[in-house]
Amino acid sequence: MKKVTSFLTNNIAITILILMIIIATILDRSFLAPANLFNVFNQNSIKGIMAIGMTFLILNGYFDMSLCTLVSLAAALSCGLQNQIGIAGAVLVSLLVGALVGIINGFLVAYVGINGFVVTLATMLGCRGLAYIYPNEKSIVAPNMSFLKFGIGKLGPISYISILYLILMFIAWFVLRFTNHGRNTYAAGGNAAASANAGIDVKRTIFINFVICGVGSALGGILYAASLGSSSPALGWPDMHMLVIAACVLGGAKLSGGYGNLWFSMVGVMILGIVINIMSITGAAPWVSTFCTGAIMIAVLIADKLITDARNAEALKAAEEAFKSRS
Amino acid sequence: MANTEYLLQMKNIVKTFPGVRALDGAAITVKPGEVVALCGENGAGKSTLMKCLYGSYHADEGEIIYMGQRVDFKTPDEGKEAGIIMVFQELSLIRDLTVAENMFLGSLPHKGFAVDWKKLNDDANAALDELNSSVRGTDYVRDLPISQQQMVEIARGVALGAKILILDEPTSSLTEKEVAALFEIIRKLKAQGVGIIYISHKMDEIFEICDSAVVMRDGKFTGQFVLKDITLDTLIQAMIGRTMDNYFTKANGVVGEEVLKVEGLSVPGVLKDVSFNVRKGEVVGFYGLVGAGRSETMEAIFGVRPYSAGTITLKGEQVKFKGSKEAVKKGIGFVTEDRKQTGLLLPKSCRENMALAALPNIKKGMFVDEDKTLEIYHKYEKIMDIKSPSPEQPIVLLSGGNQQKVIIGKWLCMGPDLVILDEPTRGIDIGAKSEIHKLVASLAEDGLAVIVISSEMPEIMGVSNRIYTMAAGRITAELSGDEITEENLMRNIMVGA
Repeated sequence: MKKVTSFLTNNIAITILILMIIIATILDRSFLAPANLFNVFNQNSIKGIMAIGMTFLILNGYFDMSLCTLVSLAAALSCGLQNQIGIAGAVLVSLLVGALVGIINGFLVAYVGINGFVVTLATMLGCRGLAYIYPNEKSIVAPNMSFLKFGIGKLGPISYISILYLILMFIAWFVLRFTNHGRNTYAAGGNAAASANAGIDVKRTIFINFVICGVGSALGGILYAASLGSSSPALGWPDMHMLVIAACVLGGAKLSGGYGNLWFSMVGVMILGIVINIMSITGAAPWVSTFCTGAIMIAVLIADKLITDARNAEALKAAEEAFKSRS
Repeated sequence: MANTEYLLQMKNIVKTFPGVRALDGAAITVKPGEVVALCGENGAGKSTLMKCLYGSYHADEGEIIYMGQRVDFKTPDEGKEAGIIMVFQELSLIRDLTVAENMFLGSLPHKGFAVDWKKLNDDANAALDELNSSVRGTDYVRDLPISQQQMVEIARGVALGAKILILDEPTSSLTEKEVAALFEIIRKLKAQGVGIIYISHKMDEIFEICDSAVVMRDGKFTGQFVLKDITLDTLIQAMIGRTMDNYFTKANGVVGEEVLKVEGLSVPGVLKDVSFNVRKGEVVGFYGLVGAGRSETMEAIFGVRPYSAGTITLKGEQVKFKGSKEAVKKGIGFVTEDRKQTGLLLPKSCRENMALAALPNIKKGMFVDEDKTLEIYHKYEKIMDIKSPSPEQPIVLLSGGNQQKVIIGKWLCMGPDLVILDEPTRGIDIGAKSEIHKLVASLAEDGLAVIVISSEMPEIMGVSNRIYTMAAGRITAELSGDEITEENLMRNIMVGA
């Protein structure tokens, strides 16, 4: 029993997920129907893909506000460029634009040394402008039907996008766990000075993670466009970046850096998804789910703080014992 | 020619920073398998010398001969590569990584382009086994107590193939049992021919584990002694014996009633049973090494650090402040150690900075009475001889000495009974220092009770009527009059904690 409690307090994301599933089932039995569960996963996999990039950045101790408008910009480009350069070309250009915004963010934060919040706030506004200027403030319908076909296509109960999500999760997991860049991300986020002392190129690590997050955001925009068959300048605005960051935080990632887990970020995304799903199957107004998301986050953060405080108190007690034993 | 008897020889090292000659002919030698103590007061230049060795600083003059070759490491990385490993007092481990990763940070073993976790953990465990540690490579650092974290740092040195291991105050957070274990490890490394530089203030430990001791004073080399040939007294004599400068002014006022009485003050892990008193008209000094608990004591009195036991009596009334606001109201002024972080609003003007603490008292309706703040500024500008082109000069543009005067003025205009000055002359040039010292004396002569914390021995001896020494969170002595000698001070701050 003690082991179970310690597992649940150490992995608070899992605890919340279990609680959410129980609550959802009580509210409506049909929640547990396999079709509905696949539905929840499919509906949230794009957010999950963006949370991968954001997790890299949060592990490094930063976050990216420009995600939300990069989504609309990339969506517009991926639909609007199809006539000129084909689907592949349009997707590639959109991803490159995501990379470019990531390069700007990363360069200004890592090498120029400007605060990450304000830099990405500025690029967020820049992208928002472009997301309206490029399509003349209009929605663009993707001319090529195979774009939409991919976006809504399924293999059995699971969507193509969800399959892509899982593949990307495994790649990202491998990168974080087994490559220098992945380990450097954890180290630099945990203690930048100590990492630099150990010969890690902290600036480059930060830079790369901004680029990863930028590309991930653009991919999210492209996939939204694909699943809708069109783009709209307001896509992602105003809170997509907040929801993605919230998912990572619900998954236990610390904004101070160094601590977090990719799979738990996935759990965080799904917790947010379950909230929305419950609201829709019980017929509640959509903004109720947003309110509940906020309330759940506060509850989780308080629980996490209490657990951390209790642990610190224990450590302090041990230190006091040590101090006593010497005098 | 290079002498191969020595693993390391540092000769005549000079290092200057703007305005300070931090090292002025410093030296040390280490033979293979020798444990060399490096001792001296705070600010004697011990860490600067070590930084010059492992590549964090670059010496201006002098030579470093390591393993028979003249070396000059440009970065800590180069020093590390060559086998010179520093174990810092503040641990530099990353809490949320495993022990093994921390040990091989920046040089993880690879298989192809993937990190080879098995080899990483095996290598880490091998080094930990060598030190008889129960810590495993897969443990997370955040779950380890401080003492074991230190073990990990040492194991890192072993795993990286250290030829010289620098330990900075390694026992400061260890229990007696852990100290014994550490010494066991040191003996083991010694037997393998590793040279160890042991920075410490604890004389009993130095005599137990070290073979020789280098004494530094004011950035200079005073001697390297073979410890079995000398006594504790010889070592202490070598550390002091400085000629006293005579620019100090001691308060010569009438000592009146007791203003502050502290009894049995304890803060878990920081302070233990601290008792002292301060009277009207006297300057009471607190002397000790960094980390001895002097600032922490004052913070507890000032209401910004919770304490678990003890009573504080201010002007006959028992008090326990819940925050600095209450303490200020009751007549305590606290000039903190770190001006820039906790004392000043840097971009604001001299006038605004000085009136800061008094703001609640000088309101005109809802707003601050600006004329009143100017009045206050002019009053104290004259008293303390603040040299500023105008009251509106941003304080960041003043010299350290003048900044400090503004801060002191900030508290004086509150009409306090007790003023606490924590390292009041840190980073202030020598002329301005003596002005601050005069000011301190005049405060006491005007009837205030004054507490001064300083790590500089001449300063504390020069300004205090009475001195409490502290070591490891406890008061170790109270000295006054003729008892205030360098030897007494040195002895009492270095009693084994």
